[in-house]
Amino acid sequence: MSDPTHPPRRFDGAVVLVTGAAKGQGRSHALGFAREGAAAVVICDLAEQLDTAGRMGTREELEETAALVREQGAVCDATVVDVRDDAQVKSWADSAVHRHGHIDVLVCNAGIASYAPYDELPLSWWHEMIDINLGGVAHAMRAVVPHLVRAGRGRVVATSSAAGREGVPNCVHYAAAKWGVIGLVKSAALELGPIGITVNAVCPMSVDTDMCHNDATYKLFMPDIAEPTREDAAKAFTVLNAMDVPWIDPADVTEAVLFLASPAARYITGVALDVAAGWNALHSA
Amino acid sequence: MVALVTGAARSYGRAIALTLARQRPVVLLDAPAPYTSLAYPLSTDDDLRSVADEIVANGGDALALPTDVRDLRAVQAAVDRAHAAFGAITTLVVCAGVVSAAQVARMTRAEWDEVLDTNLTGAFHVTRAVVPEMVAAGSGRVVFVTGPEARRGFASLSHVAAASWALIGMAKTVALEVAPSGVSVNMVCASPPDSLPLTSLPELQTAVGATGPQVGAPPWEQIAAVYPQGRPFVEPQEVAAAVEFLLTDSAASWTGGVIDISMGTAARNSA
Repeated sequence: MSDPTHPPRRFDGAVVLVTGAAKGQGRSHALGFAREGAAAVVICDLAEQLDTAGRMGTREELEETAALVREQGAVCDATVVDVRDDAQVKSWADSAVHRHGHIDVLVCNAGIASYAPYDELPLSWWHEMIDINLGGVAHAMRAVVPHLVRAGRGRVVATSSAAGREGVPNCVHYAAAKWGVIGLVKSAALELGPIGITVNAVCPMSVDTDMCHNDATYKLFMPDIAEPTREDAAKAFTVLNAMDVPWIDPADVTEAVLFLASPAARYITGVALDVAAGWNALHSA
Repeated sequence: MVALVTGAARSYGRAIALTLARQRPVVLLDAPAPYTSLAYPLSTDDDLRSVADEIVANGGDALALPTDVRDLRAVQAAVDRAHAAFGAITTLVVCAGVVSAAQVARMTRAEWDEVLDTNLTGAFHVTRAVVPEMVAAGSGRVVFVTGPEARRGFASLSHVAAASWALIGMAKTVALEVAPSGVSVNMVCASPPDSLPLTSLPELQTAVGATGPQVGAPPWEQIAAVYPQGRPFVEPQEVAAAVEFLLTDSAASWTGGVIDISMGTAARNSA
């Protein structure tokens, strides 16, 4: 019997895994699934600052995300996981299945940003980026997909980027990783299509998070301004987009992720969905 | 003019090295180091040297340097030796790549790592070792040769597709960064030249779509049925010709682009 005062929500009873959920887009996704009825949202984050990247999530923020998810009525397990370590990722996924019985949705969101010209980029930065932003997605998929295959259903959404759709100067490692995510997602979509599991990517442009608002990102987009302010950034970022906004909100990306993971998107797979205020209109496909 | 070609022991790399050697010295690299996850016979140092011998027998200059592209220091050492032998490298052609086949749900870490480290990071290593000198000189041509996995998803090849897509993202980014210098960076995505990996990797036959009504036919007929042109393999010489064109003055404005040599599957690309 449907209860008109409590209409069914899109993820009632679902078990959802989100990587990189201490803050930013990952937190927004975790909360989005909880709001939409998920029974359990299982989150992880490195929860440690890397020297190369802008401000990263902390253990306190990971716990804060968990508390916010629980306020929405979902069970939340929060674990410190390094997505570069496939054994850690596998143990995280297996424990989610052990505790909650199955997995419905995997959101591969964990990622970092750093910037350097291709000829100055420290090799350690290259490896760190490829291992986290691309390898991390692969390791999470390798850990979770066997559970989805056994269940014969499931949804995977990975975070790519507008930088997965074109070349981006001073981001050779980031662009490589984000393009790679799309190749990985399309291949997995072909493998898992026959059993009804969908695999998609979202490609956001600048999102209003720490990854956007920091000196390194501002310098990338405004090399000619000595000490760019948020107002300078707003002007510089707005001209990139067809729509009259400098950046989008994490909630805008979450809506795309929720849709791709929802029953309404049952026949959408292998897609790289631009959530980009029209920047994507510049891309050939 | 000096060309450096990676993956030069056989297949496309070999054909490209032989073709470019008609007009310039060629330095040949290949990655003979041990792999744990590859199920087909790898090329050998002797294969690499025999290509160099063939070039020299034809009156050209060649230097064979067995080098693991996964090791930046080894790559740098090879580039230094090339420089000492022939002078600055003006053409870089990256062909080195390996393949294994496994669905995501069964793929091992070694399968993932060996493909990513060779096909993607190896290409970055060579780029780092060669391109800055081209930029300083104000000219140079770079071509990354990869497969059709760079243009769409491929079942059982998610690691190869990830590395190939990432290679395009990397190449387009470098193309933008070096464009003002006059150095060009392009990609050639070529369908396979022979049946070697296919016959060694049964899962790959399924991945390229060699199933259905053709099952039971010889593999090359199954493979040919995948391509609109109805033939199974791209000739290595076709790829060498495309690379050779990208080195001409006529191609001076070509940079950041992708050329598909696909026997018609490019007609199924969205762009």
